[in-house]
This record gives sequence, C-alpha cells and structure tokens, in this order.
Amino acid sequence: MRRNLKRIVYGAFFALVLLLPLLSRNEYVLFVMNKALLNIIVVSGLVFLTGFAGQISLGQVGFVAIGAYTSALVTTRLGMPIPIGIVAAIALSAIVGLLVAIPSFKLKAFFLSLVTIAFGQIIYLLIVNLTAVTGGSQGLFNIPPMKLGGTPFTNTLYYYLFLVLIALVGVLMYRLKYSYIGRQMFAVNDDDVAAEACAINSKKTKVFAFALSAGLAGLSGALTAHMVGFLTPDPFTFFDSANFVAMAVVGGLRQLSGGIVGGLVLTWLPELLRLNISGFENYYLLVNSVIVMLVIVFLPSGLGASLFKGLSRLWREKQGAVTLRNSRSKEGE
Amino acid sequence: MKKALVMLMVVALFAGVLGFTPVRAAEGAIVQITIGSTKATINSKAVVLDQPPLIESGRTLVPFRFIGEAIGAQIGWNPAKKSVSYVLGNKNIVLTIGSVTAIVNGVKTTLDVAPKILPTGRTVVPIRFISESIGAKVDWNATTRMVTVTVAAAKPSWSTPIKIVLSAPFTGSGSILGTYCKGGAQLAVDEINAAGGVNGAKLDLITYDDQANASTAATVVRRALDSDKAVAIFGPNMSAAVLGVHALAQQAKVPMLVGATSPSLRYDTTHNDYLFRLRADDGVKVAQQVKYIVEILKAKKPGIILGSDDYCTSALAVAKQAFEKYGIKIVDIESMKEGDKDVTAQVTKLKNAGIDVLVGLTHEPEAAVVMLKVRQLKLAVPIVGFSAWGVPAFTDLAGDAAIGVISVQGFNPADTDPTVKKFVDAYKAKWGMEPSDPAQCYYDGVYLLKKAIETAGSTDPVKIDEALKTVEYTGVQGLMKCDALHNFTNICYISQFNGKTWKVISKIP
Amino acid sequence: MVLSDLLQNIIGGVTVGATYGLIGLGVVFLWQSIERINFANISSAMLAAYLFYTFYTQLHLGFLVAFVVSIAIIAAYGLALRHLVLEPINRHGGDKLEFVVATLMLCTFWLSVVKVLYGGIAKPFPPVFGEATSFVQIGSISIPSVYFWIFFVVLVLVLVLYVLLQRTMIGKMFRATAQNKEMASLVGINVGMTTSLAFMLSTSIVGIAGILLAPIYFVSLDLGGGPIGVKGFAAAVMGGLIDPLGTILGGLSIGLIENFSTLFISSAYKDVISFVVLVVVLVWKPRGIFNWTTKGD
Repeated sequence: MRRNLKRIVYGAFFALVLLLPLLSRNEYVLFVMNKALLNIIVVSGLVFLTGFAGQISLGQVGFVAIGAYTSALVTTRLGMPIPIGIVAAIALSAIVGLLVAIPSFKLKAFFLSLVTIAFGQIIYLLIVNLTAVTGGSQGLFNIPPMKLGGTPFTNTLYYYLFLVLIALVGVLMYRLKYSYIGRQMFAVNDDDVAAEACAINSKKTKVFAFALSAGLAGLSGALTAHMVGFLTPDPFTFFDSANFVAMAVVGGLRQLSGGIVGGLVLTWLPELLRLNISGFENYYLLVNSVIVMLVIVFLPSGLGASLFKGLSRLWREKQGAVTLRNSRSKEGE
Repeated sequence: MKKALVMLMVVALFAGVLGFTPVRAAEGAIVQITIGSTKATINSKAVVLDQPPLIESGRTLVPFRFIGEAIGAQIGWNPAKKSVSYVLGNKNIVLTIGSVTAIVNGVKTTLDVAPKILPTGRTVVPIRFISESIGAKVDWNATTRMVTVTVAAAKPSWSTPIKIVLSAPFTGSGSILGTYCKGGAQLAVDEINAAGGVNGAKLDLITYDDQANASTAATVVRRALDSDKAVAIFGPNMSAAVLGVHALAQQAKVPMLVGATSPSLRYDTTHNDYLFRLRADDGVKVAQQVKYIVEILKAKKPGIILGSDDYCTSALAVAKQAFEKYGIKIVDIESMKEGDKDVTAQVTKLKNAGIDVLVGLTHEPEAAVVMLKVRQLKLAVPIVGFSAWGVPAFTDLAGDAAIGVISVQGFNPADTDPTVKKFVDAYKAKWGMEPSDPAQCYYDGVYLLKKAIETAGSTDPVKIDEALKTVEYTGVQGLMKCDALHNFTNICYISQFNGKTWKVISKIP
Repeated sequence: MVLSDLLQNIIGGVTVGATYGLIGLGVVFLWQSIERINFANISSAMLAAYLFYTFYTQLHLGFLVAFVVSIAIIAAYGLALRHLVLEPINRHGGDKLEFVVATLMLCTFWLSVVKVLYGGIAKPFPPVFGEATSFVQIGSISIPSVYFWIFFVVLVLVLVLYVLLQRTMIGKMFRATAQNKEMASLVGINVGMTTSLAFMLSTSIVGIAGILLAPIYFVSLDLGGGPIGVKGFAAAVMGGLIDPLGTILGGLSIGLIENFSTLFISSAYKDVISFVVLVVVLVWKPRGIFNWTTKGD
C-alpha cells in the first residue's frame, strides 16, 4: 500500500484537476482557476525563456496585450472566426518577439530587461493612445465568446480547453528541453561565447526562445479576451509583467513544472487573501508581496522544486521504512 | 460512521416532527364590505360573498371563511367542538359557535355577540373582534353602511445579516477614490445597524479592492455574486469596469448600484434592469460645464488638458459633442499621463494656441500640477475643471494656485442644505476628514437599498431590484428616484474656489 | 513659438531631467560596487519623502533635524536591504534574477505599506524650499524657487560623488570589488564593508532626491513607482551604469526629449518617443552615450 503512495498522491491530484468543475459549481472559483490556467501558459513561456535560454523579459505583458487585442480586433472588426483570431494573435506576438530578440544579441541581463520594460511600456502607451483602433482607456467590448454548437462556452468548457492546451504546451516544452535545440540553449545560457565556439548559433536559439515565449503569451492573451469578453489597458502595466516574472521565479525557473506551480499559486494567493475583515482590502497586497519575497529569498530555486524535492523525500522515506520492516521480519524468522 | 448517520437521521426526524410548518405573516390587505350586500372588495378587487353581512346587537357578522381568507389568516374548523380558529403571524384565535367565550393566544375573552350558524347553513362571526384581535384596524362608515378592515403588513424580520459588496479601488492609481467610496458606504451601514438594521437585520458590508482595473473588477464581482451571494453590489466606480461586468449582475439578477459616470452606462444603451447609477453622469455634468463656459463665460476658443484614463477620455467624448452643439471648435487638446509632473510643454502649447478658457479633464494630482504650471507660465484665462478639479485632493496640493478655479462638482461639502451638513458632520466625526465626491453617492446608495429592501419586504435581489425602480428617497443628493435612464439623480454644482471653500455659483437642478 | 517659450521648456525639461538623473545615481552606486540592480530603487525616494513629511509636518521637528533623521533612517534601510534581502538570497543559492524579482516585490510592498499608513491621497509638501506658487522672474521667464534648490543639490551631489569615486580610496575599493570580489579581498579590501557602504549610499542619494522631488511630485505614491523609476534606470543606462556625471546628463536629455517631443510632435506620444529613444540608445551604444569612465572594456 505504501509503495503506491506516489501513485495515490499523483492520482488524487490529477483526479482533482479533472473533476474540479464538477466539484465546485461556484463560477467565481472556476473563473479564477481559468485565469490561473491562462497565467500558466504565459509563465511556462517565461520559464522557457529565462530558465532555459537565460534571457530576461520584464515586458512579457506586452506580448499578452498584442495577442489579446489582435484576436479581439480580428474577430470584432474583421468579423473573422475565433480560431483565425487566435492564430493571428499567436503569429503577431511571435513576430514581435523575434524583433525584441534582436537587442538580446548584444545586451545582457539588466540592459535587456530595460529594453523589455521599454517594449512593454510602448505597447501599453500605444493601446491607450490609439483610441480609434483599441478603444483606448475606455476599452473594447462585446468580444465574442468561444462557441460550441452555437452556445457560448461556459467557464467549465474554458477550463477543459485550457487544460488541454497546457498539456500540449507541456509536451512541447518537454520535447524541446531534451531536443538538440534545448541542449543548445543550455549551452548558450551557461556561456554563449563558448557555445559559439562549438558552432552553436546563439542568435538562433535566442530568437527561437523569444518567439516561442511571445507566441505563448499571445495565445494566453487571445484566450483571455474571448473568455472575459472585454479588454481595457489596465492589466497590461509594468507591474503585471513583474508579476509574471515573479510567478516564474516562485514556481521555479529550472523545471517545466515551474510555470504551473507559479501560475497557480500566485493567481490564487491574492484571491485567498481577500478576507472579509474590514480594512483588509488595504492590506492584502502587502501580505501578498511579503509572502512572495519570503519565498524568493528563502527558496530561490522555487516552490516547484521544493515541492518535488519534498514529495520525492516522502516516497524515499516510505520505501525505506518498507525495506526496513521487511528486513526486520526476516530477522524475526 | 454509523453513529453519525443515526444522529443525522434523529436530527432530521426531529426537524420534521417539530414541523417548522410555515406560519403566514400578515401581507397587508384592505377589506371592504357593505351591510346587506354580497359585493365586497379585497385590495380594491371585487369579490362576491355567498352571504351578505348582517348586523346583530350592533355588531357586524360576516361569513367566517371569507374574513379569514381576506385578511390572509390560516383557517381551522373543528366539527366536533364546533369551533373556528384563525392563525396569522403570532396570533391565534379560537371561537366556538353559540358561545360568547373566545380564546386569543390562550387567554379567554368575552364576545358581545356569539358566532352562529344562520338558517342558510352559513357560519358567521363578528368581524370587528376577529380583525382587532389580529391587529387590524376596523372603520365603520354609518352613511354608506360600509366596514373597512385594514391589515398592516407585518414587518418581516431576518436574523441573518444582509450581505452587500462594495467593489472600489484601494491600491494602484485610483486609490484616492476607494477611501471615499468606502467611507460613505460604511458610514451609512454603521448608522443603519446602530439604529436597528433593516427590519431587524444587520447590513454586512464586504469590501473588495478592484485596483481600478476592469479585469480585477470582473473577478471581484463574480466573487460577490457566487461566493458571497450578495443581495446587491455597490461599484465598481470606474466606467470601463462597469461596462465589462454589468452583464454579470444582469445574468445573476442582482442589482448593481454604481458611481461610475460614463454616459454609456445609461439604460437606453445597456438595457440592463439591474444597473443603477447613484450620481449625476458625465452627460449631465460636462454638458453643464460646457453650458457655463459658452453661455456665462462667453468663451469661443476652449483648450483642453486631458488625462489618459477612462474617467478623462469619456468626459472628453461628451465635451466634444457639447461644444459641437454650440458650433464651437476646440482649438487645442493636450494630453498628459496620470503621474506626469511636468506640463511645461503642454501649457506652452495651449497658451500659444490662443485659448480663452482652459477646460481641465484630469485627475486630482494632475490638476494640481497643471494649475501650478498655469500660474508659473501666466496663462491668464478662466479655468473650468471637471469634477476631480473640485475636491480637496486637488486644492490641498495646488494651494493658492487653485484660487479662482471653477469646477463642476457632484458634491459640495459647503452646501448649506441640512441633510448635506448632517452627512458632512457625521463623516468628519467618523473618519476625521471631510467627505469628497463620490462618498455621498455611496452613502445615499446604502440608504436607498435599505428603503428598497423594506419596500420589497424581502431580501430577494429580484424584488429589491423591482423596488429600487419605484422607491423615492431624499438624501444628501436631494430627491433620489430612478429615472428612465436608471440614474437616481442629476444633481451637480458649478462652484468657484476662493482659497478656503468652494462657493456655489449654481446648483443644478 | 518664441525664444522665451523655448527657454521655459528647456528649464522645465532640465529640472525634471535632473530628478531622473538623481534617481539614476542610486542605480549607478549599487551597480558600481556589487553589480546588482535594485528595482525598489525608487522606493527610497518615496520613503524619505514620507519620513520627512512625518518628522517635519506632523512631529514639528526643524528642517535640519527632520532631514538628517530621515536620511539616516533611509541609510539604515539600505543596510537592512543588504542583510535581509541580498545576503539571504546569496546564502540560499539565488542570483541576480532572484534579487531583481525580490526587489520588484519590495517595490509593491513599500507602496502598500505607505498606502496603509498614510492613505492613497497625495499630501502637499511643506514649503521648505519656498512656496509652490513663488516664482522667480527673469525677463519673460518664470522659474519656481524649488527648481534652484534642485539644481544646487544635484550639482553638489555630483561633485561629491565624483570626488568620492575618482579621487579617493573608497572609489577604488568600490571598483575593485565590482570587478573581482576575491581579488579585492586578497589585496586587503573589506568587501563586506564596501557592499554595506554601497547600499547605504545608494538609498541615501535616492532618499535625498525624494525629499527634493516632493514639492514637484507631492508626498505621494507617485514617488514610489511608475514612470519616474523607469526613467531613473534609463538615465543610469545613458551613463553606462558607472558614470555619475553621465547619469545626470542622461537624465537631463530624457527630460528634454520629453518636453520637446510634446512641444513639436504630440503630448500623447511623448512617453512612447522617450522609450523608443531609450531602446535605440541601448541597442546602439549599450555602454551608454555619456560614459567617459571606461573606454573599451
């Protein structure tokens, strides 16, 4: 029985994930869960970009915004079907990602982060100012929801759609990590001069990483637009970009699960801190930031890594206990 | 495990046996009968009696079933004891045919006339005794020989608190407003609770931070609807956020009372029966501002300094239309971003454009930045600002630079109206600061909700919503009544700052 | 457009730009010594402004006392930053990125703290640098008196820092530590002390900038986040992250670009233009355009 502990824990986790919409009929819970899943898509891209390819982006929300507005405009203004909108969103974000990658050939760390900050700000300012296209700060409304046989998606349907997409993203990442390009990336991340010397084209891997993470951010943005039904510039500020990076770091940059853990935890944390205590509406973000800081300071490898370390210790100890008991019972004979 | 099950069943059984059989509460009715006539009315609806009322020894007797049903009581008939019983609210009356002794809530009372069975086979009972025992009022009109029984509606009492949610900004750029939104709403809630609540139930105000961010508001409103099961939602206070979420309130059939001011939230655009607005909208305010500029100041070349967020841009849209109506062209629009601290270039350009009035459509700190620069660069034209230019958050920062500024205000704490004064004093006592727009509208909003709940006699959001459309309430903003656009008020002030207070030039309407 | 308008805008741009430069100095100092970027750099400005406001306006201490106490607290905060953020991250195996994210969160944290303690409404700064509406008239140009204070302090600070970094032992210690920690400690430099000093100097400079900026920015949350922080970084980048004078010049040029793009192009797009300029500078001259400290690598 104890040997199956691992299977039971994972089984229970996956069952919970799969059955959540059946367990909770609360639309708020599902809606926040869906937001968490959408964040996971963005953060997975960031984990890939930062953790694997070693490039920092503090303007990731710019790509999310490009995706969101592209799909919204393609479906509302041009009257195209939603799938075309989403594909356009991914494509445009990825292309812009290619362009943002160019400065990364020359710049490192802080300088690159400044370029990405500037990029995020420029996108935000364009959304606010190009009123005729984006609706400006008054927003863009009546973005069509996804439909299944004529009826709009419920939160439950969105939930399963996003789960499938995250599974696909996970598989893609896993394949990439252990592919030729993935190993090239690790090499570039460690030392790009040395990598160049080994005939690895560091530019190519950087461009690829930027385009991929930008495309994922664009996908997430497009899905958000159709799920929520409206867009305003508010969720596309510098602090939102910072929050995505925080999710990636809290989740853990070195493993694929980092995006999932970080996205889930940091989407839910502020919601769980909305306690019904008068005056706490002023405190909840303070508490949120303290918790995030503590995690980053004391668990720099991320919650994801610590979680799996803790779990694997659990299996090992249990297995150890089993073997110990077996040997004892043998002694008894 | 089994034990728990058994316990559960026992509890269930008890609950069933003790039978919380519902006792009807008085719903309120007016019953009119005329002696000798089979025609009667209940709540002015005509009904026909099978036995006309008659008088015996100066007392009117009516069929026992009719009067019971008319006043909404439960009627019982015990053939063995030949007794009739009525139950309504906490009153229980038992009469016996042919006996002058009746039992009211277990106490014996003597009647003037005994109930009896008429030769026609109908049982009649004294109407005055039944009605008065139940707590109804009986009037006798000797000339028309008409009896009127008025049953007052019992005040239902709820033991559980009534949950209402406020969505307002407490972090981020809009955090100025959240303080006032909550200040107003909480003050009203505390006053109401201290005075005994709404029909005995306390109001429970849950406040959420929406960060003045439409997408956060979408989460918060879902939480209010699905997790808190709020009977009403106050806010969001930001127009774009309301545009994004008001359909959720409509789907959930929960009234949403907002202080957001964009004209696009009017009923003729939203067609949302559950969305109400608690203060004058921009369409009204900006129109008044423009009217003042054109008709009183006689300005011909207005220039605008404009903030970047939705409050500013939606005001601009109305201002453009309003000026167009007068055939006046706006000569220059200069933008600034929230947080900008240097507007030398913008003010220079406005000055060089030759404007003869500066229209300020920004938030409070930006208004102060603009005014300091206007004074520095000596832009000597009248300044007419939007509502954010008429609050202490602006004048405190601008100091002397604000003297002479004219603003269209949604609220003026210097108003001498006694209701306004009472509110201002209570607010100062509670929060240690002067209230500022939009505190007054959420204060009024909570009282409006209280009145709606009392009128509806229910905490069912759908019934509250119906009541909100009809109730009238005189509050800080004067008479509040839902109009065709679902606006409760159109009140606004044109005032001028004299260095200390805002002197009212005109109060509209 | 007349000449006085141009001059007026140059003065406006230069003043705002000088404030960006001051904020940038805080960045330069930390980078110089430990090669870390504190994304909560700007928080020190807000904290100092609120501390000064508390001591001067609320507790009625004199100007000098209030100023010295505020800056002392901010310096101590710098020290705390090293021991409570930098060191634990290093100890637990974190690196530059973790420091970046931790300080980003610190920025949010301080905004929330100030919001809770003082409320979200901006407060007027006491008129210690002259009334907000007192202007000095020179010909057809009018200049707020506080601008002179800003110019004066910026000049003094740059001079002091220049001497400190280029002409004293401390400067050499800083640069040696930044280049190679182990080598520095081998030649007898107290690396720990240098690091502490760098943190304290960095936060104090930004703190002084905060108090100086408060008459323009008010005692408000705008001092603790938003555009001014990013523009401080931009100023530092123009100075190649090492040159104090270059940083100030970088700040000035950003301020001027903002004003002139409003004047000649569009007020709505002035920030877009300044960010595009920043990106161009970064890509074109990553070592900064106002960097005379190091030539080549």
